[in-house]
Amino acid sequence: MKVFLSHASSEKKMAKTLRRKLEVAGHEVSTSDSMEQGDDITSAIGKLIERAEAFVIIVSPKGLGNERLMWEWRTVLENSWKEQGRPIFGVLVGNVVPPPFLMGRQLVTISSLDDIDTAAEQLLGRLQGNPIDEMVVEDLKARGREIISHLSSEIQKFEPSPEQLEKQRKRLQEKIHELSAAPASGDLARLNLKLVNVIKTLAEKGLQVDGAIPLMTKSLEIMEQLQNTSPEQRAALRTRIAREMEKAGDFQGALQQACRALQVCEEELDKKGPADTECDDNVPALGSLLERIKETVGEENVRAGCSLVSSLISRAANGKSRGGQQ
Amino acid sequence: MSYKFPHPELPNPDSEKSIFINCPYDSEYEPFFDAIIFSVVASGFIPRSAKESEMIAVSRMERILHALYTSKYSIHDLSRCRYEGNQMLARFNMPLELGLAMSRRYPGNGKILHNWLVLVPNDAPYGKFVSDLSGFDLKQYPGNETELIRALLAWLMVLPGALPRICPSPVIERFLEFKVRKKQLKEEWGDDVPWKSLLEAVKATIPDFA
Repeated sequence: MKVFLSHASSEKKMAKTLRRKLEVAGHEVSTSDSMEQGDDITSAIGKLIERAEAFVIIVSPKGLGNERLMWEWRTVLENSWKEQGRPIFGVLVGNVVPPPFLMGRQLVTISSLDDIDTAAEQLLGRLQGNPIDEMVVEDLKARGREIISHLSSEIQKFEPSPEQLEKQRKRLQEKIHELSAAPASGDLARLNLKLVNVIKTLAEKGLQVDGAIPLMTKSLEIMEQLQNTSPEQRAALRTRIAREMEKAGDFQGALQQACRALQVCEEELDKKGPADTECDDNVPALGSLLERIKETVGEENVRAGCSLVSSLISRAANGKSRGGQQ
Repeated sequence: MSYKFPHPELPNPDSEKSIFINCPYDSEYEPFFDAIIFSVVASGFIPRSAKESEMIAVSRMERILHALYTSKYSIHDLSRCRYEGNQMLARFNMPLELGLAMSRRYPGNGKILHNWLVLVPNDAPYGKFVSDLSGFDLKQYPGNETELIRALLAWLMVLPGALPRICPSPVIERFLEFKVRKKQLKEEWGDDVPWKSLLEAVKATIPDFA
């Protein structure tokens, strides 16, 4: 078997002994020391790793954090993913904690060079393949759960406080006020939408502030005036406005915006064809909105919108399936 | 003007698990941005960026510095450092932030405080154009999300504190599920989905460890 043996320069002696023992047992072993003088180091090691059928990684406290070694490990890992069935074995020196990618793999622990015979024997046995210890798998799951739980609590730290939101709301309002004196610009449209999200987040915290719908409408007006966004992007914004209007109980307004967004999607479908429009997500969202409000605004008013939704969805689906058959 | 570090008003999660993301934020790059934050969370780390504090009234540069300086690692994608538009200018934000990360790496006391991954597409000789980085590994990827996830996981899995035994297939499978959730979030929030909601959506979709 072709084996690549990875080690830090501090473990050269140990690697040399281990290499000899594996070679005596009939394995062809290469290490980063196998390179010829003048080789491009990275590409030469890369080639050795690429042609290996198994990998043995010596991990010692001195080697942890060594960037050259970490690069070797990454290359080993990528190669083991490319071609399944190329096992990775770890030899841990002393009580070093294995790097995460080695956890749960076949590991041999040695405390000094005197243990190398035992380690080599164990390793040779494992090169034939042994099942993974179920206890180890359980330990790893527990470790995984611990990391995920830590991650969950750290994510909560990104939640802005109501005071921070209120401060940002005022700051954005001032900036918008300044920009409003100048001709309409993309910056003004973007700031309006940023302020909308601050207002929405405040609302999620139970602090109701009005103004989200007019700000979104203003942004849409600017975008239509400047034509600096695609019709689909503007239809998506119109869909957001419709949803906000629905939440605010303005169902007639929501219906109007939804129908206009649907018209834009229809126009884009006519112009570009189903594969090239970005309206796919908008149309079903608008369909659900119309379904929700149809009893409140009267089914008669919504019918045209609903039939447009069905026609657009089926046109998009037919167009795509025809495209797929070609 | 005085600058407090870490900034008292900005989020300060575990810096040993924090990875600063330096990449374009436009719609063209969005699938790759999603792949980066998904891979980072799926490996047990916390993605950081100026976007994490958009709802806090602190200047953009301070927010960038805070997120970068409270992160042990960073990922930089230089793939968009090529000329754009009529003026044929390249974007300078990404190299600027890579420079900031490098200054963090060599604080002058002999200790390495920060480590990074530089991503470049494999269709251009970036090594030649950022020759100051020769000796550092520029990770090439062929411009698709799946290969980007593989490249990222290989880098992330050797970092201390990563989730054990992650392999690309289940992560790539779940990434598609995350993209559906992201679309729903965008319907609600537009292009500026709150950072916490975004990370919660990633966390809810990554492979299970139960």
